[in-house]
Amino acid sequence: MITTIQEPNFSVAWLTALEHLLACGGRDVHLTVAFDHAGAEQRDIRRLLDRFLAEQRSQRVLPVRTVANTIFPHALYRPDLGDQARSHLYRTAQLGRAVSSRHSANKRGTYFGRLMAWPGSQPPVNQLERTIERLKRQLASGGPKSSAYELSLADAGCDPAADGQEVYDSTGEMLMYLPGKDTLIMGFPCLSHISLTLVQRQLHLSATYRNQHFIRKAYGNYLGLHNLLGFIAGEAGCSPGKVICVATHADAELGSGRGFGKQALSELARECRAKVHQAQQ
Amino acid sequence: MRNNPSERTTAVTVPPSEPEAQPATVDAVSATPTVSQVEIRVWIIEALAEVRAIEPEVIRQEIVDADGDLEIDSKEGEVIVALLEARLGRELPGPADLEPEEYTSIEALVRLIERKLQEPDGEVGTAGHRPAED
Repeated sequence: MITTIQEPNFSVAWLTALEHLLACGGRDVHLTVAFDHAGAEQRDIRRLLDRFLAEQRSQRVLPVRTVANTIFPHALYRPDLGDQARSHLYRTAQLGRAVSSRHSANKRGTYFGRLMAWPGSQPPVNQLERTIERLKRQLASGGPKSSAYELSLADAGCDPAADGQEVYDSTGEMLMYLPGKDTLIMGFPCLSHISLTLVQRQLHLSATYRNQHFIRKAYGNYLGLHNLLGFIAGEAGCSPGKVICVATHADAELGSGRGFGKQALSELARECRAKVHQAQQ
Repeated sequence: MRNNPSERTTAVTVPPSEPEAQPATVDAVSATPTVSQVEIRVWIIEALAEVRAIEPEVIRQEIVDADGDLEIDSKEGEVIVALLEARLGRELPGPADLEPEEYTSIEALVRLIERKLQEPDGEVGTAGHRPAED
């Protein structure tokens, strides 16, 4: 049975997914986690996770924000710069790559690097820029109609006025996995694909991970995807909608080797859930 | 956190005061292997202002408002290091070389870069490379 978790924000979505994994032995396949972009992050959950991670020095773990930055370097985006915001983001991110690329873990590239300069084509394509411009053209072309069709992930150029029915007037696909080059069985890239769907001037994002570590990475992954969607939607001129994230293999990192132990993770989950209950009161 | 009261004074080039300090040229830096914390801090503030697309004076005021140090994002730190490398003409360590507790603040970068500038050119990093992907 495939498990789908849907929560109003990504903090609680991560927690519910972790609880699910703890209850089913630590691993699952095709675990699907959905949350609304509008749902505010519950920061005390991140603080608890960061504190837990900081206590695992020997495990070579990273703070949540560092993981999120690999998908979208939120601090480099200055929307107050108006039409210069994107060029400022790309310029500063490119500058920073000169430093970050020296790290051994980044030798094969970074997620944001691939979004900004897809190495599978010559010259490299800025997938973000292409997608934002495509969305802007779609939004200017008359807007989506109502009703329902099956979502196609194919081409972004479909006609929004077709049939007078609801049309998914633009999809955008952004690639991470590079056939022929990404030959490692493990490691980068675990995030292989991002799709965007525009419906009624609201942009939704789906992401597929071939493998997702729920302690080291998942919370930061969600935060990064949340920020990425906010950026693309804001620059395209539409509102951000839902995020859905599929982990084809989800791992709670319980034990053996680099694991954290079921007892410690269960305690972390209990502390986080208590914060959720406190916030609801 | 206030500015470190035990500010190093062994530097050859010490500007008169931080806000008015002028950055050294690449030639000047090459000729003076020891650079003061004050000077490094000025460069970092200027680089951070460029990253945030605001005036350095705004950054200085934020530092004052934050009791002497300012938290920065690790991505901002990478860009700052890149800008300083261009200015100094040599490689510096990135924020990933820092331990987590000194990860992201202006003062942490000042200390890191000062340490690096005291090493012979070409030595990279101290704390090992930290994975940053997946």
